Amino acid sequence: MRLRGIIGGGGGGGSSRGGATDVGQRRREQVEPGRAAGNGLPDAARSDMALSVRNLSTVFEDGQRTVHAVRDVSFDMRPTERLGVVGESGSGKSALALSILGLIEPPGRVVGGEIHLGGREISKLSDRALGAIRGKDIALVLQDPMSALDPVKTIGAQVIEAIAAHNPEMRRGAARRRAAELLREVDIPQPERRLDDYPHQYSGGMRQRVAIAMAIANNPSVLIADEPTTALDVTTQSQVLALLDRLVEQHGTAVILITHNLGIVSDFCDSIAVMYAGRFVETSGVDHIFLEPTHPYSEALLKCVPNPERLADGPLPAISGFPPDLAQLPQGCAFQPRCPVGREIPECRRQPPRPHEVRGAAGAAIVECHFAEQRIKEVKV
Amino acid sequence: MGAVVAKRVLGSIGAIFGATVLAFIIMRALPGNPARLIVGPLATPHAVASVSHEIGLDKPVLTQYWLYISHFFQGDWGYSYADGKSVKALIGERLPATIELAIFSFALTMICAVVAALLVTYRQRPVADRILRGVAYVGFGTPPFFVALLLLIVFFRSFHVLPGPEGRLGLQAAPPPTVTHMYTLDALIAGQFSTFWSSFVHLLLPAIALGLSSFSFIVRLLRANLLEVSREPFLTVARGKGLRRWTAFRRHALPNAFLPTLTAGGLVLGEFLAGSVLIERVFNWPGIGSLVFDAIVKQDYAIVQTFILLSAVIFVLVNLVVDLLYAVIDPRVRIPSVATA
Amino acid sequence: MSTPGASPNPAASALAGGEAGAAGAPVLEADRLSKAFEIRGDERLGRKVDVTVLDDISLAVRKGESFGLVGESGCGKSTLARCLLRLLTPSGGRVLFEGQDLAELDRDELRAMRRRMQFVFQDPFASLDPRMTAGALVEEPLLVHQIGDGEQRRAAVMEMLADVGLTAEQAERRPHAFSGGQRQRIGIARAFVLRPDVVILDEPISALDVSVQAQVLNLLRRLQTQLGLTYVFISHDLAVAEYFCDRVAVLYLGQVMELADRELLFRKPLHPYSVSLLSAVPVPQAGGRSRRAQRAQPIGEISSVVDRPKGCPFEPRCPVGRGREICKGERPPLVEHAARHWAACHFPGEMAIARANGSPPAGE
Repeated sequence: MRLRGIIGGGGGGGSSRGGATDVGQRRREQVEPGRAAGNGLPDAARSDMALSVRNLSTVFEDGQRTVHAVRDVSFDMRPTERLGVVGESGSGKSALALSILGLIEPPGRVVGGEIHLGGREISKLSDRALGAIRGKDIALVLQDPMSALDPVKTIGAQVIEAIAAHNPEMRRGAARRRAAELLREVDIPQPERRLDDYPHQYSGGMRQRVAIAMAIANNPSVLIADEPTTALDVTTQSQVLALLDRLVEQHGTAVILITHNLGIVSDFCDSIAVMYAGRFVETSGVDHIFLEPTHPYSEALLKCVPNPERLADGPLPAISGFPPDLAQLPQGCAFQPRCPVGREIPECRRQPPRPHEVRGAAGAAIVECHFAEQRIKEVKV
Repeated sequence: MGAVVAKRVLGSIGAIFGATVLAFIIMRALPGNPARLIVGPLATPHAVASVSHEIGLDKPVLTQYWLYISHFFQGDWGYSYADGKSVKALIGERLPATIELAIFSFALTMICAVVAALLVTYRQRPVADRILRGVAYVGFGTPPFFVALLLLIVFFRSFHVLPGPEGRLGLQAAPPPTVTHMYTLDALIAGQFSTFWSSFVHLLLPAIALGLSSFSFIVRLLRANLLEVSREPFLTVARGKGLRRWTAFRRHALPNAFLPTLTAGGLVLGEFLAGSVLIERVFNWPGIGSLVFDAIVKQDYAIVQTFILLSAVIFVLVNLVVDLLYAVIDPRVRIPSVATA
Repeated sequence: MSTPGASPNPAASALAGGEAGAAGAPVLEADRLSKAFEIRGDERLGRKVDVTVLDDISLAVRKGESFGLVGESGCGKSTLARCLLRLLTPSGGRVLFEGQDLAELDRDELRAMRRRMQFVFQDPFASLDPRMTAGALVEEPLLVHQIGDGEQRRAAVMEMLADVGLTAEQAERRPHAFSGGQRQRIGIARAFVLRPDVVILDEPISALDVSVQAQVLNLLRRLQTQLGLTYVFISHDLAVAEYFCDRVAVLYLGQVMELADRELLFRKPLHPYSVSLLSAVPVPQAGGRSRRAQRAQPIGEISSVVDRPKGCPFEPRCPVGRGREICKGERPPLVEHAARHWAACHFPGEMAIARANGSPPAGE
């Protein structure tokens, strides 16, 4: 079965923030490469983690085709850790978020895996039981603020709904006050008056703040934010991220930030998982990815984005080809057809790569590539 | 909100005004001299002229128009050319039957459409969905009178479970004491349960026949809207808050999907209220549809012109109510949004 | 504009950096361009509001360059693009193509002019007619302008498709069979098949995946060199603009805040808005988290376009100018504060750039 160590920085130590030193060090002892135990799972889900996922798989069955959106994803998150999940469209990152929350609707379904939230296994719970957890222990913020709020209900009603869903005995007046308090926390001016306004009266930035307010209403231990700033202007994006940063510091929330923007990940996250064709192809502390991207896809992704700090003229090293069809995945490595390293290599074509744990200057990483060890010595950005 | 109401009411008045002008012009453009129709083919020119004068045909057009609408809104609807009875009385006799059928059919249609649409969209039910779409496809294309005949053959002639084409109550029963002119309500008020039941079952087949094509239209509309809304992010967000599936659906998907259906519903109700001649013929239903049809055939324009105006007014009023309901339900109509380039 | 009484358009020519005989004479110019739209203000009967989307904009695009227009929502960049092509009629000011005022052209002349200016749209899904094949879409401009006969057109279409990296077989397919990146290539082929002189690209890669963006940018670069094109490149993504463009204009609420050569703008921005815009862009690099505290953020949200401030449009949010009398009362003119570097600000350069990486820019 798959190996998963615990990757990530953050937690209490100030020194590990942004530093390139001991991010992986702290975790090293818990990483156990490829030990075959009796049940095949060397590393069972951790109960001291805020969120611990093992072998999560989700498919979408559309008549003849079965699309494998999430393929055997495992990871752990400490309390207050910030994990950035980076991928392009078709990588499965949104499906991953919904799978964790149990919100995959037919024709999709979660076909395997375990999800432990604060020590409690939640993947097999009924919808009713999950309802008691969603919005309370684990919350969701979505991409498009324009359509994340019900247009025919007031902002107040929707924030109160988030509160009342888990506080049924709270009285109306108290709920209203709490709602205004939440709006104030997300920097919305004159919150009492805002409660009776409607979403269409506000800009994208404001709406996204409301969405965040709804998500933190009950102080969840884990927050999943799926491209929360993609639809926003640059300056608004910066403000919203600053807000999110402050809130999760204050409340001690662990965050999974899903995005395609590596810059945001570098700003906000402690650890990063690069997702391609439904799998985590590289998982590491955040600095590692920028200093020594080991998986060819991570490296290519970094290089093909115009980066003002690396003012290179001439053509951008683009990734050739197209993302794979998730219903017809190749036998070996999914990235192989486009991989500058493995394009001609039979082993890459035939064998799916196992996760390799490697260590670089910026800490440990788990990389699904046949050439992980060789590359960690070569790659310099 | 007040501004919205004012605007809509003014708009409705304008629409009614436009309808009156149109009706007036059409009536005047029709062949035949109403005066002659009244006095008959054998009357003398003198008689024709005097009746002409009596009904004001020799006055200037604008005066005639003014007389036309002022009489209508005062309730003076004139007399039937054919038999001299007051138009008001004639229409008054027949209108309740049409109204009762219209409201009953509308309620039945909407309830069935909502339930059916919900059943196939709340959970994925591919078989039920296909059946529903098939029924809607057939129902939309089949003429109501044909459906009516089929229903009668099946339920009356073959299985004898429902009454035949014998009007609102059949030949034996006597109508309940008049309060609202609706047999069902009046029977309930008077405590006559057997009469209530009789009028209820007599309403069933005509209501289904009348409503089937509208049902098809509305159920497809509602189904499409529900499917679209259920894909919206705010529904996922609602579930993310911890709401149960049905609660999230009920509170957030339904109201949003309903809005366009509301408009369609208004059109349907307006159409039903205008009466359906063919259904009335098939079931011997004493409504205004057949009254007007006969009037047209007999060139009894007094009835026809009143009916045109009456149905225009009803239609406009129904749509006014729909518009106002829309403004109540959808805040985007009554509150301007932020303007961003 | 800033020099009243001077001959028509000296400012614009100056903006183009056009000394006589310089490599790039202005090929496309906006001269005091304004555009206002009428929108329904409220439900209160009859109240209409005039929304000024472009407010007295002057700029010039040099032949052969890639001119960038950057800004956030409400800045008017898309409207400006459409006014430049006369897809919209300006409410004030002029658009000059090679010195010719577009408003003075009659329909036929304008149509002939259109051959030389083309447009690539943002949304690769909505900008292609789903019922036409790729080949037909690329052929359409040739048909409209009645160029060549059937065979010549077909040859031109095939050549163009090959140029953008599509095969002859793909010419028979309809848009839904293509990915976003491929559709955008079709859009590009369609715009370029007429061999225009100027191409305006309105966020041509925003709707695409990151890896595909790079492919399309490379394609655009190659075609520019190959065909000798001038680009007007609209983007909200500053990193892309910095990579791709030679000169960039920063827009805010329908006015030009700053206009300069690429290196000047991105290394030493003068206008506080440019500074905050640049420092808001997250840079993918190690150690990002510790630097974020040094961002210079504007205060509050972008002002509504309806509710335009009177003096400098950025004043309400400006860390430098907020509350200052002159900034509130007087709209700062676009002035050349440094060589080939224009800014519309009463206090240019006061706000030092603290880039995303926290370090001062190279050269200081």
